[in-house]
Amino acid sequence: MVPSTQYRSYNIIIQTILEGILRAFKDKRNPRKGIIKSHLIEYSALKTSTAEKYFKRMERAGYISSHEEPWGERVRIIYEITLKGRERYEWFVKINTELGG
Amino acid sequence: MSELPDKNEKLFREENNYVEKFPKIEKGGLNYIKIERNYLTMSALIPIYIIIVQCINLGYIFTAPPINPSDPRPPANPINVFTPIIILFVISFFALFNFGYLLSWKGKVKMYEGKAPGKQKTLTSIFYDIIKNMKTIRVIFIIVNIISVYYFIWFFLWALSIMDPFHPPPPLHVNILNGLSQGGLLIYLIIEWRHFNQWNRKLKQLKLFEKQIFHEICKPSEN
Repeated sequence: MVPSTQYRSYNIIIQTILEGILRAFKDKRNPRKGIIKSHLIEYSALKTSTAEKYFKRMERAGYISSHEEPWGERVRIIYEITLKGRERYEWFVKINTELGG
Repeated sequence: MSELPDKNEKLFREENNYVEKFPKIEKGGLNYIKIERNYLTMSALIPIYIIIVQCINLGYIFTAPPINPSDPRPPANPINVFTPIIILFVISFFALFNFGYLLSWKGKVKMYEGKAPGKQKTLTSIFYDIIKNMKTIRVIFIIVNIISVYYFIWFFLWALSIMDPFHPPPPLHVNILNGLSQGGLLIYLIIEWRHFNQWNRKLKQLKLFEKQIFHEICKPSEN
C-alpha cells in the first residue's frame, strides 16, 4: 500500500513539470513549442538527477516528449507536452477550480 | 484522402486550440485564487465584529451594578469573565491565522504573476498551499464550532441572569449586539460548513487523481 503523501509528492512534481512546459508554450517570446531541459529543471526546482528520473518516467507514460535541437556545435534537449499530458494538467486545474471552495 | 493528413490536421487543430486554451485555464485558476482570497477576507472580518462584542461584554461584566443599588458591588462571576475571554482568544487566533495566511498568499500570487521579487512560484504550488492551509483551518474550525455552541448557551443563560444572580441582566444594547453577533456567527458557521463540505469532496477527487497519476507514472514494479 502506497501512502497518500507519496501520491501527493509525486503529483506536485509532475504537475509542476507539465505547468513549466505549458507556460513556455504560452510565452510569445519562445520560438519553439517546448522548453529547454535546463530551463525546465530550473522551473521545477529539482536536482538534475531527480528531474531526469521524472522526465524519463513521464516520457514513458506519454505525458511529454523530447527531441534534440542543434545549438552551435552542441545539441540541447527540448521537452514538449503531449495531448495526454495536457489533459492531465487540465484535470488537475479543474479539480482545484471547479469543485467550489 | 489518406488517414495520416487527417490525423495531422486533427493534432494541429488540437495544438492550436490548446495555445488559446491554456491562458483560459490559467485565468480560471487565478480567478479561483481570488475567490479563495475573498473567503479568507470574510473569515477574518466577521471575527473582528465578534471580538468587539466580547470586549463590550467584558466591559459591562466588570462595571455591572448590583441588583440593589444601595449594596456594595459584588465581584464579577468568574464564568462570565472567562467565557468572553475564551471566545476572544479562539476567534482572535482564527482571524489572525486567516489574516497571516492571506498576506503570505497575496505575496505568492504576486510572485507567480511576476509582480513581486522572489523565488518563482508555480500555480501548482499555490494550489497545494491552499489545500495545506484548508486542512489546518478545518482543525481550528472544529474548535471554533465547540466554542460557538458554548457561547450560544452561555449568552442565553447570562441574558436571563441565571449565570449571575447578583447583577441585573445585561442592558438592551448589549443584548442586541450579542444577538447580532450570534446571528452573524450562525450564518458564518453555515457558510463554513458548506465550504468545508465542498472541500471534502474536492480532496476526495484530488486523492483519486493523484493515485491515478502515480500509477501511470510509476509502474507497479517500480514502486
